[in-house]
Amino acid sequence: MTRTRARQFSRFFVATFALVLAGVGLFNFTVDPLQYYRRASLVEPHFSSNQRYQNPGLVRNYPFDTVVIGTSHMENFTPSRVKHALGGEPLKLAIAGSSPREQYLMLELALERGSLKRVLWGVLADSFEYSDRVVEDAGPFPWYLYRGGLDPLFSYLWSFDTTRHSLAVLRSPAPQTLENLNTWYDKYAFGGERVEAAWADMGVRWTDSLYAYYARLAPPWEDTRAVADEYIVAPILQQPNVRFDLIFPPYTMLEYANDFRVHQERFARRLLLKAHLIEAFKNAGHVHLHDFETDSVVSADLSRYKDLSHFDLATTELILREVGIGNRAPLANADALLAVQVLAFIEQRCSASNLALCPQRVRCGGVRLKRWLNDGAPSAQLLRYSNLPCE
Amino acid sequence: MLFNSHVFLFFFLPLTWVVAVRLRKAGWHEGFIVWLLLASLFFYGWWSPYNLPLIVLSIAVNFALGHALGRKRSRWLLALGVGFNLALLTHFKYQLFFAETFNALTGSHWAVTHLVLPLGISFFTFQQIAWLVDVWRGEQPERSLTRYALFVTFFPQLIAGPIVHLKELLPGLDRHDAQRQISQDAMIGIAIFAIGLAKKVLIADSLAPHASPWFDAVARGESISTLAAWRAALAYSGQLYFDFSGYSDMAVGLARMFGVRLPINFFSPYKAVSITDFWRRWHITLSRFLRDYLYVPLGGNRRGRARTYINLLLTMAIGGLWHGANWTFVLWGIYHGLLLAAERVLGLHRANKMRALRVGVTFLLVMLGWVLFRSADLDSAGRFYAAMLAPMPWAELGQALTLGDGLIALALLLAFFAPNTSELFARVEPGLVPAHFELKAPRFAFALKPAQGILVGLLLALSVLGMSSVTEFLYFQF
Repeated sequence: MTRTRARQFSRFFVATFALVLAGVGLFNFTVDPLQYYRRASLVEPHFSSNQRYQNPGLVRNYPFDTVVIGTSHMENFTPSRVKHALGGEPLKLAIAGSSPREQYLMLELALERGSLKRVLWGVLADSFEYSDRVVEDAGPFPWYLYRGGLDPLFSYLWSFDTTRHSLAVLRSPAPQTLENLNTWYDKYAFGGERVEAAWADMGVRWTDSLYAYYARLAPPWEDTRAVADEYIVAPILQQPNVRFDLIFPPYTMLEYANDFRVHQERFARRLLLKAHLIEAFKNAGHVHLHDFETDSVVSADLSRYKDLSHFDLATTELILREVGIGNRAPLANADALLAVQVLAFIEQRCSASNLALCPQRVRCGGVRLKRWLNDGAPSAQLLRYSNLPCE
Repeated sequence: MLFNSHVFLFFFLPLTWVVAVRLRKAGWHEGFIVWLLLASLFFYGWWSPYNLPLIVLSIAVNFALGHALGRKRSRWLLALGVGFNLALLTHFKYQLFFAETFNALTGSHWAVTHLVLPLGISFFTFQQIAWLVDVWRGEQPERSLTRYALFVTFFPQLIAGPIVHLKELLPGLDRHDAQRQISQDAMIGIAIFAIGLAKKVLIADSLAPHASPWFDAVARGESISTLAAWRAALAYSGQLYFDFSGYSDMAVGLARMFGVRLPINFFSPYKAVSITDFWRRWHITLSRFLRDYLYVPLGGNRRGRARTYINLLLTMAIGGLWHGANWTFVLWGIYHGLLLAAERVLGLHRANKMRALRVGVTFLLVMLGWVLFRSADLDSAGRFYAAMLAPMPWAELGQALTLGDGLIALALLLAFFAPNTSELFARVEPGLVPAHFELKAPRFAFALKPAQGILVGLLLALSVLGMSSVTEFLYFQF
């Protein structure tokens, strides 16, 4: 084996390697399917429905002074509706199934642009189950789109995935506009039947083994509080010049009852989280809380929902109207109020002794909740009551 | 730092290599060694600098004990050294497992803190135990602490092996002809690395979505169909092989870029005709360690049949436990120990008839073992096996086949029929290949031809383009 041969080999190797990477990189940069470097001008703008990938490009290249942050429950807060209710130039950055950390990343990106004046943030206790993680259920989290520097070059431009997106952009018409991006209010049927079917499905899904599995994974309350402090409380308190509207969206009563089927502490953690955020922001003039969880007119009206928690467009518009007026500040006894509503619902549902309507864990949850209410115990003892034996 | 990360490929590796080559060309050998040591420590500390003091402590203690053993061949000193290494490993890797087992057996509530497992601890611990034993057996201890530290930390093999002997690694770094071979070694190394990276990125990572969701679903208590269970078991068999052998290829290739021939770790394990043969071909350096430092000292096959079987079971159970602090791994090891013993009882480990049938049966047995290996716990493994053993809906099979099944089939066909990396590079002595393997170079074997340069460049570029989703190597957790 001669040195000359090795040198000749290396020339062909390096040339091929460089040519392929340069070619693919240039192609992906030109099409820029996620509009990361610039707004689409050569082709019709396409928007990926994978918000973890798409949102960094939106923040970087679209104008806004108001952003919508949260989970799928905020996906119907379209720019035009938000603009109509609150004014400003809104941009929706909700991510379906997102964790608090991902929502915080959205805020961080939006703040970096320097134009942010107002944030609508849908706070869901369920999303805290991811603890401080990013969600990677459907693929790895694209950190490279959030970090800047050379990361986007390596991981966005030199990527088969991006090439696949680029080809899709060139081949097909844009399936979504910025206005209807990831909305679903017009894609599903809503109503009590569907909600009861979802309840029944959950009953089938939450077997004893899944309950035991989840019990091992569920983050303890201390963890949830720490996550809330790190990704919601601290960043918001650091931005006194931005107005924050924190929304606690209304779930169905069935969703609250389902909490007990998932984990015995889950409902207690929901109440504790809200109480913690109310306390954390009580002196922050730039933070406005809007509590729709205790609106039993909405939460008991199953015709508004497509499943246990996702509400329709009319409810979305109701929320926007109320936020616009500045209504729905949480009441002083918000936790007890919701507990009373949920208890009444469970007792009514359990009166028929139908296990499908009222499984044992839900019945137990009601018993524990009643004890807590009857004893007039403080919120701090909710967790203890959630773990009392069920007699 | 992962081998399949951009920071490694485009920054760490080129910089480390360029400086190393300059030092080598300048004839400053000590500088070359020190540079590689510093680079290796940086590589190790990249993920968590907190691990650095641990590995430095481990190196210092073992080096001192090795020298003491060199002066006086004392059993007590050896026991102290082995005990120190095992204590370190137990502290970080097994204390929670032992505490949970103890609590389950006695009903007590012994609480221990969950510690983050330092990277590569299983590998560098075994490597140093082997060195202490070798010194105790009469090998001269390495005099230079720098060189010894490089033997432990050399970045191509630090995180996930191969588990090497000092006498295998250092001579490569000291090669007198290395200066004249720099460009050849670099190109051969890159080509082997490219094959390994492609195995990992293009094959193993593509198989993962066909395996992980099903194992995860079973772990959550969900039930899966028979077809899904078999598909996941087959996909995982392919994923694990291409992932780990890909990593090993990358390690061999990287080492070769610096003039070192590492021992190979895989030699077409799914072509094995028996479980005995499988363990000669799968994770070869671990099998070698277990044989030389556990099975043989236990008495091997020299103390009668019954003792041989017990030794096999014990060795494989410990080998299983080495893979992870979970009863699934212990049972997986015992399962292989039982199969090895059964082959000896039946005399199958030497038979050579009905080769195709034996390869098929061996693969099936190995794959059944992987289910245990991959499952979150014994309960999940039991439910996974139950799903596999449920009646197969043969009539629906044709309609249920997906593109993913084609990928799984293609990957396994490669594993069964394609020449392995050592064979592909047979003309250029890729790594240290055990003598009992007959290296047959295929017609298209690597020989630094220009067309092969194009192929390697293409393969590496395609692998880089597939790397956008950085994943971890399966064997890092061990």
